[in-house]
Amino acid sequence: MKPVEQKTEKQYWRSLDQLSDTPEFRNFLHREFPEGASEFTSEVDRRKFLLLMAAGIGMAGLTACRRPIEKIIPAAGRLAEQIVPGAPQHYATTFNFGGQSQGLLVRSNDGRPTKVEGNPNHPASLGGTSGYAQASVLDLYDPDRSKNVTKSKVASKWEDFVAAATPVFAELKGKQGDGLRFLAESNSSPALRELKDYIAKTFPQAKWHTYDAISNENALSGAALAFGQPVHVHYAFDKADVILALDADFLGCDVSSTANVKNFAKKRRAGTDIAAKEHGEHGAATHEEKPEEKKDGEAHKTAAEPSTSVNPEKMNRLYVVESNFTVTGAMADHRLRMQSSKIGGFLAALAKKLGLTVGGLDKNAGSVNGNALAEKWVAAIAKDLTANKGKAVVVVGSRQPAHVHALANLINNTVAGDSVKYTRAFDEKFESGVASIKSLVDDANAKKVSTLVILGGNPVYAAPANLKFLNALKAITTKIHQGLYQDETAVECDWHINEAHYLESWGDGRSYDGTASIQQPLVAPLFNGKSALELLAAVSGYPQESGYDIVKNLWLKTLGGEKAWNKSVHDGVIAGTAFPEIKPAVNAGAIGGALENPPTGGVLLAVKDDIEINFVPDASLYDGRFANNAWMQEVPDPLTKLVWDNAALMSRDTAERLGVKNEDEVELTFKGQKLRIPVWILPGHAPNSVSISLGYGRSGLGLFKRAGKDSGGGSNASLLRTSDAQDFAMGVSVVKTGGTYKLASTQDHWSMEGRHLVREATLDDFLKKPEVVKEMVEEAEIFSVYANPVNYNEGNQWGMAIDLNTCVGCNACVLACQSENNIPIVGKDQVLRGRSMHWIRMDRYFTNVPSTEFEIGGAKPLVFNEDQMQAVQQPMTCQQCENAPCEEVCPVAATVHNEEGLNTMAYNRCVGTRYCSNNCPFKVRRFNYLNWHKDMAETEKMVQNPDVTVRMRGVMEKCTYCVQRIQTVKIQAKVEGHRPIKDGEITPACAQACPADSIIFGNINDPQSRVAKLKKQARDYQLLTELNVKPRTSYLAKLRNVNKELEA
Amino acid sequence: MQAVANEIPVPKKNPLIKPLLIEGEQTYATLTEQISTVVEGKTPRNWYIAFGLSFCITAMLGSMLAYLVLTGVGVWGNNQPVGWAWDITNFVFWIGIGHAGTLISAILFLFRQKWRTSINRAAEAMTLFAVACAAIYPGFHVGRIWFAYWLFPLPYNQGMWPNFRSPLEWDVFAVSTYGTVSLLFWYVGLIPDLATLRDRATTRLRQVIYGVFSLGWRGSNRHWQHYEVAYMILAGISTPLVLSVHTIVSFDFAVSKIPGWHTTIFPPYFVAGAVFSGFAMVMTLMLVARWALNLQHLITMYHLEVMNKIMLVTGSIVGYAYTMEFFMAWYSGNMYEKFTFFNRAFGPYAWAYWTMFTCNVVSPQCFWSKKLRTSIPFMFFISIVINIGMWFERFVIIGTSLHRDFLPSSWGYFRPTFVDILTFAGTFGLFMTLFLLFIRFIPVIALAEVKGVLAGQLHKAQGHSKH
Repeated sequence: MKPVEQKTEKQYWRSLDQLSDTPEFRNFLHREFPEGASEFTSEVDRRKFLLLMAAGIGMAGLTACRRPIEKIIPAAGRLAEQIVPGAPQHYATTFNFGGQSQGLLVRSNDGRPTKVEGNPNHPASLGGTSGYAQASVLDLYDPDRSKNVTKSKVASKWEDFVAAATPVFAELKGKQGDGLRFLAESNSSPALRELKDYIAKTFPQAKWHTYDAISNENALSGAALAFGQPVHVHYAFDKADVILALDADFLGCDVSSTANVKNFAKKRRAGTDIAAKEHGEHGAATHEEKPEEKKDGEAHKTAAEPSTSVNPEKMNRLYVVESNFTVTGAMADHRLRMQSSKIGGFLAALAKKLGLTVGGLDKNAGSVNGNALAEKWVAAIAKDLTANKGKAVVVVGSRQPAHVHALANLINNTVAGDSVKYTRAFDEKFESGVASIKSLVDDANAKKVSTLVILGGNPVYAAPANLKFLNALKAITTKIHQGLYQDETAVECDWHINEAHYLESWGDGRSYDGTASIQQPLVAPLFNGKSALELLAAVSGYPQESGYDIVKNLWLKTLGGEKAWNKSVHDGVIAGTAFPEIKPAVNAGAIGGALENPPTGGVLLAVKDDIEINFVPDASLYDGRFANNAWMQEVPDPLTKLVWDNAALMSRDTAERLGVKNEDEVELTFKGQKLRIPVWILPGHAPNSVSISLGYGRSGLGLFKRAGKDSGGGSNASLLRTSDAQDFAMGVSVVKTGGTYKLASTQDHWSMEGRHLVREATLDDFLKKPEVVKEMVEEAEIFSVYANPVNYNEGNQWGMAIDLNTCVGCNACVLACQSENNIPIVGKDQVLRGRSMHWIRMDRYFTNVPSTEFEIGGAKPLVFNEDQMQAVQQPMTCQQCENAPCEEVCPVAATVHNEEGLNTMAYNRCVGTRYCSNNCPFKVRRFNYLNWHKDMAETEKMVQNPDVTVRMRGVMEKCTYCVQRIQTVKIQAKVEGHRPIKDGEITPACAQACPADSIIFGNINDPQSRVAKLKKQARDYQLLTELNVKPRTSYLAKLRNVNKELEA
Repeated sequence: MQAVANEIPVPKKNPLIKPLLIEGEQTYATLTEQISTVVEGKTPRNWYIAFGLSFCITAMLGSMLAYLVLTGVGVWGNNQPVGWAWDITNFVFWIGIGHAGTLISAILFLFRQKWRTSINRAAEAMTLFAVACAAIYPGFHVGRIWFAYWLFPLPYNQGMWPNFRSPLEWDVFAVSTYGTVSLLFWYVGLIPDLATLRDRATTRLRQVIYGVFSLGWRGSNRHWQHYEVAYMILAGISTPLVLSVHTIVSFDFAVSKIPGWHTTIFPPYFVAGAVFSGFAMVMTLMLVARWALNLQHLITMYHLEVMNKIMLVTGSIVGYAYTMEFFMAWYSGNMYEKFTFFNRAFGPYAWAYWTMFTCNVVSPQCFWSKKLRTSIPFMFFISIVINIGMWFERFVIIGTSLHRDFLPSSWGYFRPTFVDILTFAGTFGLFMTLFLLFIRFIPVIALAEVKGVLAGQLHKAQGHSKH
């Protein structure tokens, strides 16, 4: 348009420029901004810049996004395609461990699995998790994971492997699979079973070997002996009134411990929920109380009164006879220490006392004869079992030989009733793992094996020492290994296939009762690993290639349709897959036969003064699979409190007899094999017995390479473990070498020093007089000089109650807290310096240990009875004191109280004077003495919870009751119209993981909340009330259901 | 010299008559000459050796602190539960050392104790240097030293006051006030002497520097009047500080909840201990200075003996406090308290406790004997023993209380690292460096004040007959 030139009418002009109509002016009219202000002088203009920036930001997200390509289904909330960035999702999946599976809900933050929780729908979880499951997420991000396929230790590709394997397996197929062997660990996966069956069809001559360093094969053999078929024996601890555990760590290292603890705790709680008398402890409600109630004469009347409100069910009683001191032993109402070798004899004596007529009892019971204490125990337990017929159960640990299990099955057959259930085993063709690996070794040595596929496990490290597995392995032409790590076995194999972590791959599994569940990945394989299913499919030529197709196709056959598949994946449980209960008949004759001729390693070997060696699963590393998991290395053993190392555990009296003390190095010689290991005294360990946990002494672990010298690692117990002594054996020699080895323990002190920290009462005393717990400490009248500026009577007031009667000390809470709150690992050296960082710790005290005052003077040795030693566990974390001593001393007000009663930490404000920690009576504050995150690998950073600040060095940190979880729910409640928060809606990580539901969190202002109700119980007490710190966390006293006949 | 001594009719054995504070034939001129030549003369070779050594140790302190800041507090042995160990031990130790200086200069001044004049300058300097050494610890022991300024009530972006309820915050004020007042007091006392040095200065540089710092002092009557008043006021201000600083330092512990810390006896006990350790340190330093600078006639046996008596008294006070703590622990019936004290004496740190007890309570008792009290080698030995003992006292209070408190599960043990040890050694280097600079450039003895004493002495000696 050229309005200026159309000089038809009167002209109006804005400026001389317009009038003259210069090109500059025309340009100016068309431009929004002056010259130079709106364009870049470079080639990239504004639009292009924004385009590139947008693409950059978009693609930046892509690099972190490794969501699996298949459709995965979150447990709640939106589907994958509708994910709100930043909001975490939970996915149901399955953790296969020790030949069984546990259903999990795993949290994913923007495609990164960050936290493991239990799946309440899954029978092996029931909402809780084991510590093993908690720590498994760290393995996913382990920088030492095997990152690629290797051929003779040189990096290669999966495609190259397939190309190389195809002709080999084609040739094998031609030979009907002759010379082809597989070696795997037990696995309950139906999909793996399907592939195994397919391989059996395709390669009829191939053999499948199974070996587990820790297995329950003795239980299965025992069941096979007793019932004629290998059945699974399940103990319904929620129905048993009397439990006798023989060398059975069913609450600890047992693979199904989560469910066991859950059910055990249920029965443990029964009949103990007695409300406290309104005693005007806080001045309130005193006027309602009748004054005459205080009179002594009335005491019995008032004591009798609550019994009407008592749960009619009664609390269970647990007897434990064991060699090593386990968490199960610590939970026992009565614990007897006994060499593992003698425990079979104990059971035989018990069977005799129960009047069972089966051959060989006298022969076996001989080992208990003459032991007055054991005889007393046998008599008392026999009486108790008889009195509780139908509700009594004898549990034998998997370390005890088959005939002991068989005898227990026989006893249970008469006393257990419905507290023992039987289902079919996962694999009806049961073969002993030791026999299986022995046949493999024999065949390999005889050059009958040309190709061996090792699926997981680490046989070079763990196989029985006398078999010399490595030599046999070298005799095999083609060795293919699959595993998460380049471990001892991987480096000896021709091909190593890097395995996909369970959070990266599709699979399935069955829980102890047979319930199947799908293992769905949350993330695409970080290092392009393959699952065992995919490897087997590739070598065997299975119709489906990917794990997803294999699993889905298999289950679609059973489930029928896509909808049912989706539901199963979503729920984390496949409905109706639990094995039906069976009622097998006991064959007493067969048991008698076995008892007459016990195999070697059996009960009759116990000779006086001979020292027994025990190989026990490790509470942290299990069989060594968690050896590179820093969380597991640093979580203290529940009883010894050792970290980063194992030790030769022995009782105090045995150590005295052998003339050794803590950290003395000894050389153990067993059947010609030698092992050097430091000594650690565990009071209450069986006499003349040494326990060593498995899984330590691994070679070439990246964790220790990075940590440098003296970072621990322990000694390899499997060097002493022979095929006929997988669990325990007599005849080890212990010789002091003269050297010492520094062991790191987080709690050196045994005694509670007469302080009522863990309050414990007998059940009888408590039922007679529920106030007994509160009266253990005389509470002086305490008052504050200042009125508290915050009104704690309104709004949400958070509090916690921890039930010491059900807490077994399994460490699941410690690991859950570590995972949720990004708690750093400090290493052995720093633990030795007293700087471990756990926000929640397990305080372990041995009972019957005199306090230090007796020790003082030096000359008088500590004398205590180790035979019936007991221990207690106390989860200790920030007590969120209302009168917090930490707050008043912080010079910069970095730790302050909030209106909901939380003792909060402003990390950004903390300058790190450590005064708060000094003034904390519970010593639960943790200081970042160094930059613990300095050497953190890039992958490890991905496990961190984005909702929790990572603390820098120089800053104090501590438990917050998981304030991030509180805030998330509060925000949600606010968004939903300021609705009140429901009880149970907020669960701190420790409480969520706890298999015993011992930790209950909630609003103490809401009288209907679980925590408020618990705090009203007679067992409820607070620690250190005399300091007037008013902790928000209270404890429920521990009760021991004592059998009077065993007292005194 | 002999003549002067004969002139003074003092029967030496009579205990009622005070011995001379300045010995030998002295006039104002000789005093000026003697004290000033220490500063003006050629720097002795030994000074260079001593300074070089001290400076190297100070450099080590610097590198240790740099290592600490760059790496984290973890380079020390502090742990969980012993959050404070050598850091606060050394802080209290150095602050305590400083006390004798203020006590000598302020309280003794107010009480007209003339004997203070020979040692007050050095003692005050020692106070300042000890406070400087002490200040390192609260500053550097924090985890994030770059934010240590948050302890001061400054207006900055966080818009937040420090927590005035925290005894550590009280420390900030107590120690900074103490440092400031001590510096002023020392400096005011220095002015006339600096003017003397200015007047005697032979080089331009000295004239300018001493001239600037002597603030135009001309020694007029007016100047003297103002000076005396100012000095008196500062002495008055310093006096409560002698008591308050260590009282407040003791609050760090007394106000807390920890058994072994939570004790009302702490304020007087800490002050007595501080004076005790301070005098021991003054004694150590003065014996060396007296010998090295030939000041025997100014720092006489009388001075030394008086100081030894003070050590005997304060040593007995701390001994009483140690005993009383035990009595209270038993008498209170508090199991935690009882355990803590039992544990101190018989627990894993019993060696530290008995070291402390022997050094602080037993060793000064030797000063009941006049012979030992006047033996220079012996008092030198005891002064060092007391300093060791007083260091252990602080360590015992801090370390043994923290290492075993309420929950036996969290009990631990503290072991120092090489950084702990070298840092502590380094503070001695800093202290010595500052002290050597001080004796090189500033009159070690308060010239103006000693002249005042000399005036009295001459007055007495010349007899009243002349008036």
